[in-house]
Amino acid sequence: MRSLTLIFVYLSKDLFTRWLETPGAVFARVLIAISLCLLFLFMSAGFSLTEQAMEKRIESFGVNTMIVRSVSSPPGQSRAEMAGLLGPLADQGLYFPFSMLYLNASLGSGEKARIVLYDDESLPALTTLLGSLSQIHEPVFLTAHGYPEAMIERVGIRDYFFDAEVLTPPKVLRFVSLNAPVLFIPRSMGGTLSGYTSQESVLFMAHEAGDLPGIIKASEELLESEGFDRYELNSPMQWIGELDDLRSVRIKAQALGGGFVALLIVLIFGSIAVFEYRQNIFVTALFKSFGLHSGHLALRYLVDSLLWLLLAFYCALELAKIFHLSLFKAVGFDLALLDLRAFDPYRFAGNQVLLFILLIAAVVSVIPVCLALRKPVGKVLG
Amino acid sequence: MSNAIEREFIRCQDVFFGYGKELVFDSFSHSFGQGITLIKGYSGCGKSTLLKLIAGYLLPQNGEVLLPRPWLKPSKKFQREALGFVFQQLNLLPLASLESNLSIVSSLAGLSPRDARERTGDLFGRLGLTGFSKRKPPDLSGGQQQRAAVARALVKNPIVLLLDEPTSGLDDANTTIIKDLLVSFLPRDCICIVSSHDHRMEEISDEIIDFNIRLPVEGPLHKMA
Repeated sequence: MRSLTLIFVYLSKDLFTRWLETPGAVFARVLIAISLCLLFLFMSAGFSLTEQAMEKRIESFGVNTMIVRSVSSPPGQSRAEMAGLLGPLADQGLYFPFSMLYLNASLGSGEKARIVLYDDESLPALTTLLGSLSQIHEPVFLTAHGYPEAMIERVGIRDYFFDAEVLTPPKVLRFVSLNAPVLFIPRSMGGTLSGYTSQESVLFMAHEAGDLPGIIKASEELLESEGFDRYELNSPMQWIGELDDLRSVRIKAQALGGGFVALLIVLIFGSIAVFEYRQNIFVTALFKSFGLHSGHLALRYLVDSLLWLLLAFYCALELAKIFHLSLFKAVGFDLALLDLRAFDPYRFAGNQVLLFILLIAAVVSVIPVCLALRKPVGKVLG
Repeated sequence: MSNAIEREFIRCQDVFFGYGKELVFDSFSHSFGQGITLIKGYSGCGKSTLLKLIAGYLLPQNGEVLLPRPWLKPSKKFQREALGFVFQQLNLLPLASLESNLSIVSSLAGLSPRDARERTGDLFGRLGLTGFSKRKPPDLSGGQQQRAAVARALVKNPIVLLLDEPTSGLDDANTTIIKDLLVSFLPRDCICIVSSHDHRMEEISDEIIDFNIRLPVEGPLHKMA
């Protein structure tokens, strides 16, 4: 034990002297390891944030929701109306057919609002959807996120101006309109607006989310059989599939990225370890001539690599926290998602995969030195 | 076969060794007894190689080296506990003081710290290194380093002591110190083999093998050159 302590002290001194003699080699290793760790951390965080955004979208849209959109049939072509075709869905959930015009209304604030025409039969569904619709004084109203509830907003359609009361839209409507304000007008009051090209749309929220996959399939078959060749059907059910795909891509990317990080670390740390071994070869051989096992000497190189890799790992975690907000904000993530107090992708416990990769790389990087240590003492020392 | 080796002998049996295509030993056989054996010979004749083969620092490509009991064959344990070796060149750990250099070797050999201290003090006294025990090798002269290397080899009270050109480049004073130490300090049962072309070492040798003349060969008559 005493001998091992003395050898440990000597090798530590040797290690420390080497660091002082070649600080460039130390900095190169640490900086490269930090950069690689940061790349891996940001990649993983990017995937996690995308997943979270998707989960949030599914949550806000409602897992039981489906929206179908199609350009209205061109003049001269006869095709059944989507609202009528999918009408039987009203028995299985909230069914709200509407037309979204390819025409925008302008608001007093300067914003543009999408225009939706709805039928009188859709009022019950609209009331359920909006909740506070019964308090509205006029059938023409505006839903706008960020506007005060019940505010009267000046609206203009082409050269015609009128006032509309503002309602706060539910999340699902915000999604349908991509957060833009929406002007709701009963079809009966639309006048010439009905003549504009519009998008036939149906918003459906099933009573039972489990029924939705069957409903989606049946709706698609029905629409195709009725000649709807250019329609768009969106549902969180599809996003759930996309979420699963994203997760599998993340696993593949992490495996590939981890392999890349490990390979570079093995190459760089291994090369520097061999370089240092060659510089120190006589001392190493002298130790071996005393009867010391090569394993003890290889430990010196392993400790060297491990020490710097663990330091790089820690620094990368801390640096990632510093740059997290500015980086992902620039990429376009919602600020609410980027609060590290709510979700911290750089916790030590959450990055054990990277730590494991670094440990493996540290061990593998020492293999060339282990092989070199097999060289007989007699061929090194004169 | 191994059990038949007498305690006091190192026996090389049909040792075959070469560096690449350059053959150094072809069926070399010899027994080395207790006391000091001096191996003389021209540069490159294989003196150092023979010492390394005995120490286990090189492995014979054929044949074997048999050591006294209980070691029988070169091993790490043998190198730690029973072997003292002085290399031609680098012998000391550059970052450790002379005292630490000897401590590491003696602790690996299993000597108690007290015994190690006593032997170190004794050796340093005999070799004129007492005032240098805290110094590191780069701060010492070549002669002092060489004397310290001999002290390091002797501190564990070795059963086998192998010295490769121990007086190479040393002046008469330093050579005399080393010679005197070997004569006075070496245990009677120690097998000491010195590789040297220094004639001054002949005075203390019990046996001299001159590789310049002919390698002593034990083996079949037809293999004699």
